Amino acid sequence: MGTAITGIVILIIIALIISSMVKSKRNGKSIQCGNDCKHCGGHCNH
Amino acid sequence: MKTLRDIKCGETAKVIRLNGVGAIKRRIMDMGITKGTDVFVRKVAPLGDPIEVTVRGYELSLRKADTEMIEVE
Amino acid sequence: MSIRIALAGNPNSGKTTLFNALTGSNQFVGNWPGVTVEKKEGRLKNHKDVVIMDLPGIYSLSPYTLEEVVTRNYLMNERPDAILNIVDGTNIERNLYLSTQLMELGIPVIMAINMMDAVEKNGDRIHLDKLSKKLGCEVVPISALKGTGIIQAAEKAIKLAEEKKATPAVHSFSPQVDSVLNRIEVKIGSQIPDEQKRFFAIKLLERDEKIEAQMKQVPDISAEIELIEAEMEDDTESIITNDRYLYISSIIKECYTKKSRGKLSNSDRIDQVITNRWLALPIFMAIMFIVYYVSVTSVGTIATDWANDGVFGDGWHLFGIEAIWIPGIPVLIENVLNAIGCAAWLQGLILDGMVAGVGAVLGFVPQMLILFAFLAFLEACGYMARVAFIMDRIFRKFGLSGKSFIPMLIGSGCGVPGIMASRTIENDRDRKMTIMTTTFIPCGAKLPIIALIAGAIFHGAWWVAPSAYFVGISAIICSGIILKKTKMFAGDTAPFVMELPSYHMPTLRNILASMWERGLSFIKKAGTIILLSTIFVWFTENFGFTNGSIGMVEDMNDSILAVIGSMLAFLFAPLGWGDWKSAVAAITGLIAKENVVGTFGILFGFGEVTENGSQIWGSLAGNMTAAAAYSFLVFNLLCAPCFAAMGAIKREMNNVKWFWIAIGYQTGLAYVVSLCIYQIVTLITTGNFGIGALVAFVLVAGLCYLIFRPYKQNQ
Repeated sequence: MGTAITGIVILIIIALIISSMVKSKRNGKSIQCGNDCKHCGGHCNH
Repeated sequence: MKTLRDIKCGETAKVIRLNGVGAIKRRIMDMGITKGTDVFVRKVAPLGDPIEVTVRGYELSLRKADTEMIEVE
Repeated sequence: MSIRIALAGNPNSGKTTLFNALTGSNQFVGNWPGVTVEKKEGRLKNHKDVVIMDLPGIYSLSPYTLEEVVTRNYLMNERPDAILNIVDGTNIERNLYLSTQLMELGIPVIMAINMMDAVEKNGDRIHLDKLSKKLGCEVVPISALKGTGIIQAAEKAIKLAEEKKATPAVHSFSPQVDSVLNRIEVKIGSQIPDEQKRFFAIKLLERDEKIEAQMKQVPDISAEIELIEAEMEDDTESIITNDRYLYISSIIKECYTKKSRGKLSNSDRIDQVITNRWLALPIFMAIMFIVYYVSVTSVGTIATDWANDGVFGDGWHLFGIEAIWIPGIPVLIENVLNAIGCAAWLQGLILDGMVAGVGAVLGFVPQMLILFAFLAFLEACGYMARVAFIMDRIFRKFGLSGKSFIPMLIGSGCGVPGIMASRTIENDRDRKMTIMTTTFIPCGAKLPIIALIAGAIFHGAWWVAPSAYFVGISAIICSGIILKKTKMFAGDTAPFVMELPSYHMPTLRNILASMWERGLSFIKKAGTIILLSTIFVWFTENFGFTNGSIGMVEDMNDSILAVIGSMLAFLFAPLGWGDWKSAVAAITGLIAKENVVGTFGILFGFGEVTENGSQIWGSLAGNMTAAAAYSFLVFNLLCAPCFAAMGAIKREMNNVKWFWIAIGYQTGLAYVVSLCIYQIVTLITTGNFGIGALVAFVLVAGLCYLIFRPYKQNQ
């Protein structure tokens, strides 16, 4: 029983991870360095 | 013909004209080094090149090779 | 219909700070189509229908650099409703040079003078009303950093946009030039709308080919050009540029009172030391030493030990108080899993797979954060430009410029912003070379690998970590020399004309925010990609074909992972680490460099032996000789970076062929160098001269040839 619960929890976690990764790719924030060019020090255009 | 390259540290010179063509000349002019401008040679980089000049109130770094384009008096 | 406001100004004028302040987190960052110039759009805070476009920092609207072309194409073709021109008050003359050009476009312009606080502190005064009258547009004082005046500036821009009245260009050229321009405007005729005529006339006079290409009918003005060039004894581009600056000088005389003429600013005083002829290099090395010593060696190691042995180990004392003991995460989880009766294999997945793998990586977060904080400070205060200035001569010797050094410095934190920082390099060849070599510098994610090898194999010898950076830098230098001598990259060295902006003290908030931002991405990566990788590794490591069926295996050497790994492991045999575990670790490193340590952590049972952290790495030591271990380290340092960095390379190269050239070069170099290191060191230590050593010597000879051969450039 405990195994089943834990197993399901793990699967849910994995699903959440994958969905969040897909979402961040779609948002145009696919720059995986931190999803935000904002705090890169603004070095993207100097 | 004296160019900016001949100016020593701590000296100021007035630009007479800019020789050269194309992008690099335009770039130097865009940055404010034009006919009649005063250029102050502030220092040289530790390894001898580039140099730092003060022009129009700010600091600009130029390679010695590029300074040969700038004729001064 | 949303209102579009374009933000335009010089680099270092505080444009990005202003943009961030105006849009908050409502930003979208991408690229202009087809080019590697960043396109930033954002929604103005509290205004649903106002879009702010952050244009690249430019000095002029000339046709020579990509940023300038992209910006002026946008302004000419997309016609935003208003331009918010940000001007650095401490540097106003050169900033106004761009302003005069912006005002010729026929789009309403409002000028925001930034850094007013600095101006006032210097004791200077800008007479805003006079300036406004002379320029013909509204002028508002702001301080983007402090946030003062920015909302007013934005609102005024919105009002301008709604009024739809173009700001007529009040500034005039000298009479001869003016009359020529008028004649050209007549010749242009009706193909260009009235408000843009002046801009086109000027560009045509300057012989701007890109503008000519955009016109349906290019009027013949060769006579006019000849006339004025003869009159003023200069080419038309210079004539126009000179004229502009003459006009600006006349304005400045009236609108700007400089209190201290010729006195050194604080920035200059600091530079007297920092870029001093004799002190600059030692100071630079001292700064680098401090940064890396503090973040990696001293504070970093303490923090990482706490993380590895405490948080992810047995446990630790809260604030060092003996009485308060907090058990380590693996212990806690194990207790919970036991309590709910979770099956042993699933516990194995969680503890030996996920927790072990991710834990091994998260242990390095403290070091990462400190390193990021230091780098953020160096970037924000303006020191990077000085670094380029100091290093330029060295870099020129092997075909790059001082500007190539900055991406490498940033790359020591994370490779992705490092690669993006190569955008400041105008010369295309140099930029490509910089992109290809930036990831040779050990990034934060490679730190765990360095620490692992240093700790497990070399018993924490002090020289291992610095040697990793040394290898990286040498790889960059040698690559520069080698590549510059190939036909692909040879060419004149690009000019180096760079502004040295004033130093300014970054706010603690900015630094912490930047540090946290990058640290958070590191942690997020651990919780997503690395976590998934550990699950994958654990499953493939524990399951395999025994007696013809899939099931859990006792000996991991029978597992699926071992089978796959063994198929590829032979590739790495010449490098000294041809076993499947090392091969698998290196390959998972392509997903994220931290995975190398994470994978090893699982494969060598990090989760099991939590008694004494150092003991688990002992089994690693048994797996490789010192030479093999160092070769493994070098391979992972130099080979293709993680997927995220590879993605950045692909984006910045903007060309699939070049992407593969970069990756191929990096991996090839990594292979060759690690092979030579392993073979030669083994030769020295064992004295066995076999075919491997022979191959190594041939390769070394080959490399030396590529580095030292004379290269004659064909004129």
